[in-house]
Amino acid sequence: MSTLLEVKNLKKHFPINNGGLLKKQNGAVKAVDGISFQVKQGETLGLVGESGCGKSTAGRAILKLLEPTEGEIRFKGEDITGYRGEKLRKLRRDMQLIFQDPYASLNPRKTIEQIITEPMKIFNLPKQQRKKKLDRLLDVVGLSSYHKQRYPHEFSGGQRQRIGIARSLALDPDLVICDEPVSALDVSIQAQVINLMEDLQQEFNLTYIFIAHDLSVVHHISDRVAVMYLGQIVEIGEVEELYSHPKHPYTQALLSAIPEADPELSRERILIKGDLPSPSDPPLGCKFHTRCPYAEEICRTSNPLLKQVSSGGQQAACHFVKEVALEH
Amino acid sequence: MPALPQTTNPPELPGPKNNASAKSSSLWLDALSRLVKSKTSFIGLCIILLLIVIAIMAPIVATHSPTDQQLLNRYLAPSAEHWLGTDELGRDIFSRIVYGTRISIQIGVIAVGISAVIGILLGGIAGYFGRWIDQVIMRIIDIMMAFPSILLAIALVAVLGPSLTNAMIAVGIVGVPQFARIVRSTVLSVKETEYIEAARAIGAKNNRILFQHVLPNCLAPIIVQATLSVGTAILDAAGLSFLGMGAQPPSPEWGAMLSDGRAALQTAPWVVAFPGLAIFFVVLGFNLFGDGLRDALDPRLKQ
Repeated sequence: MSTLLEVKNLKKHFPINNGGLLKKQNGAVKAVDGISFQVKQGETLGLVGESGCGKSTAGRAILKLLEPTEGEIRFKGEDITGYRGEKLRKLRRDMQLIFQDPYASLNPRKTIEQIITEPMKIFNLPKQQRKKKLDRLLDVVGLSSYHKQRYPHEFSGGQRQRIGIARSLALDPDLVICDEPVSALDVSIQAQVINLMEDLQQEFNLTYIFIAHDLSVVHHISDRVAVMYLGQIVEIGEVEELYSHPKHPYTQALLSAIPEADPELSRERILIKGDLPSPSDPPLGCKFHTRCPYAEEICRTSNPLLKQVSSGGQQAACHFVKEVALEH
Repeated sequence: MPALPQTTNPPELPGPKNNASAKSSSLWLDALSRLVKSKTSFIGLCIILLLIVIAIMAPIVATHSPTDQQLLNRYLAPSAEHWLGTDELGRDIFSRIVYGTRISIQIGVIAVGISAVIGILLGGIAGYFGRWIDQVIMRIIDIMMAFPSILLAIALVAVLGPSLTNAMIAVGIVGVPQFARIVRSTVLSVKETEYIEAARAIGAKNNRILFQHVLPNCLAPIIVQATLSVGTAILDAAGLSFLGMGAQPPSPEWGAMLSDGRAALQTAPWVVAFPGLAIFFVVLGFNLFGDGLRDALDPRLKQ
């Protein structure tokens, strides 16, 4: 499998201006602070982390919906970081986004037909072809052709999400970034949409970056998982390996919080104390040290880098990977 | 009790067939039903419809020619022959008011059309592109708003020359800031929505996003503002005509009629009173309708 997407040291900082006339910059919110990873053709990379850790920002920066502050994005071997204007527009055919909120992501003034065919119109597909494609897309996402003339508000959340999925597939993209595509849906509908997404991946040979905070959903759909904390990746690896042998204390804490449907099972919950520190003023050293049960002096001064922790390619960013893993 | 004939009401068939025939109800239909339910806006709507009917049927409704002078019949009080009396040249006031409806509607629609087109463009561009374009446009709008509107209109007519067309242009330009500000603020909120981000993600260009995605979603406040502006435009144009800078004699414009009749205010008050009442009702009609429209289109009031 070839590498489809490669992200190197990607940063997205949002400047904080004090409201004055001169717009003096007062520091920055470091939403994404140097993440690197690769995504192979046809795989699903899960991106997990708590709210505000920068996962959505990372997704949008990769799609260049947000201008990255620093770093490099290579797509199909090409450096797309500096793409602008027409070149960037052409790139949109190959990279698409599925939104979190199916209620906000569809234009309420357009019919389903208009919504799904718009990308094809923008890229000048002939009318006949648009029609055929529309019918096929409606079919694969499980909507009927009489839905075409309706408006988004006439649909349920699950149906709307499927409309959004059909729109993002209209241009036959290679990479689809799914920004919490099921977190706004009921649990029963979540399964439907997830299964649909898996079928579509098979059928259209899609590569997914699946952003979510629901660890069980990520476990189900992902091939590899990256765990983010305060704008950085703290652990990344194959899904089974990472879920069974988490090496970073943050990953361990996250995984121990997944509820299990077995009342007999007694487990040790790893509780992390306190709140997520502000991304505008992140702690020095290891960003997790303020909440880490194992933190020592070195964690307060030096930020650990991702390093190989297993033969399977799992990487974690912790000074005490070995000790922590043993203790677990 | 005699047995009633059985009314056969077959139970509705479930299934996709029923679903398919279900009509697509748009947001506008919802709004319309709410609009008709409100009493005040219904009254406003009636006034506006009445006005339009009168304007279209003016030759049938009017009892006399609006410009026909009968100098022997000057300042006649209302009577069976002249329902609302006659003015200083013996013209029938009722007929003049009826024909004046045409002028007023024309003024309202054209002036508001000018305001809306310019205002929507300026406000849309300012709100959507932001940065220095926004600053430049909105500071110009601020300057326009700093002038009293009638003074600005007078200045414009002074430059263009007094005529009804120029009065409409002047009133139209004076109304631009209202539209620009409302459109800008709506655009600012709409452009942050996810469906605009979605449009960008599928490769839409700025023009397409602004005109096909952002502005159509700003329509509700624009329509409300347009309706409310018609009243103000008619009022402003009447003011200009009153000052002799709008409609020229012998055109039966209501503001000009007020001006012509003010010399005889003491002896023949009907010459002034009836055109004044006409202006009052029309402006009231548009304001009531506009307010109702605002309530109907506000999704927060949806139950």
